[in-house]
Amino acid sequence: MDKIKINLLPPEIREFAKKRNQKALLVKVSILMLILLVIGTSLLLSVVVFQRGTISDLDGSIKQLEVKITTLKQKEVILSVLKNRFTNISKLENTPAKQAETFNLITAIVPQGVDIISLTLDKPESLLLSAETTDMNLLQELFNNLTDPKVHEGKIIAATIESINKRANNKVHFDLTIKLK
Amino acid sequence: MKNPLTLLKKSETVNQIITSPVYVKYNLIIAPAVILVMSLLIIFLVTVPQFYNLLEIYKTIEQLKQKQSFYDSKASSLEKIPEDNYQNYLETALIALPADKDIPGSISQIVSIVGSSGLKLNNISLGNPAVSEGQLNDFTVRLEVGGDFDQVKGFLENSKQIARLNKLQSISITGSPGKTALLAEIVLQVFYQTLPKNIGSIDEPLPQITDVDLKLLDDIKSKVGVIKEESVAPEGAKGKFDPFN
Repeated sequence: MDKIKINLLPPEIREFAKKRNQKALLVKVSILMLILLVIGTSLLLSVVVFQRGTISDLDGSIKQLEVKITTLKQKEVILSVLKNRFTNISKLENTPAKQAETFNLITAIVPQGVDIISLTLDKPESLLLSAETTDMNLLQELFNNLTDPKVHEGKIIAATIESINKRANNKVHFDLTIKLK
Repeated sequence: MKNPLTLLKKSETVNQIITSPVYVKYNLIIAPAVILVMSLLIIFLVTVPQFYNLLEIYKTIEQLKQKQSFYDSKASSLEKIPEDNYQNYLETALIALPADKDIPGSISQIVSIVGSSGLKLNNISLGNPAVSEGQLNDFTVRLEVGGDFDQVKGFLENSKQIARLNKLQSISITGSPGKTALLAEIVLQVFYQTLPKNIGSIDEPLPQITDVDLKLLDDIKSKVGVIKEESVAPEGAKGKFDPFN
């Protein structure tokens, strides 16, 4: 048969004991939280210290590699100068002289029988041509060539006749200014 | 040993505190409040700054690892470079684009093609523009030649075949009507590039020599061969050996 338990303590004492237990529990929980916080912060600090060590190791390794690269500087200099030269040579070779192209074009479109007296090609965008011929058909052919984009491949924008005259020897002399693309 | 009277006084003070109405009212939360304040101080003065510090450290480590990897690959690439071969490549490239004007060399090549084109050289003069350190520079060679149109065209074609980099700057031709003989004033730009005083920093990537570069090198070598052949065996060439006569 179960014994009957009767708490004969006064209610004030019981209330006091209850509050004391609550307080003790709250303090324990608070201390536990503080301990956890301290442990967490300590771990964090340990990781920071460890990672600083990693940084130090990496710095050392990088310094060694820098020394190694410095000892190979001669090779790097050769390679850099060589590459720079190749780049510039390639750039120059891939941009052909416009004057040379224009000269070839003009000499190709001036028909045989038209005598070139002077040809000046000192600007990339224009040239001066003085020529003469006795054959009006050749002159017509030249003018046709100058105005036909199929012949000059669209490289001539405009051709201006500066002067044209027929001389005593039956030759037609003309001066042209040709504007180039 | 402490004085019992002092201890008694202290005990009385403690009793006064713990029986004070404020203590009685707040005694339940005093200890947790003190711990909370301590916790907050730890969090804001230590934990949070160290957390951000750790993030920075990880970022730094990542950067250092990248740098280490870059240096490592650069060092191993440099080790693999056959220095003698590249020295030869550079010497060949310097024929096309020398480090100085090399006026005798360039004039020799130009005069050689004037001769092989069949033109007569009447005069030759040099222009002397300003020099920029480490940059692409040029000087002009003004040629006054006599011949016919085909020879001038031949000269312009041949000028592309010399190893030394050059470009036609201007051409002016005057001729007498009805005669094939004409006078031409040809201005060629001849290029050179001084050597740089400083080569890029250690952090710059290593330039790569590509197949296109090696093809360019072969082109230069073949042009050097052409010039050598022309100067060694002028009889086989199309034009005159001495361009002044």
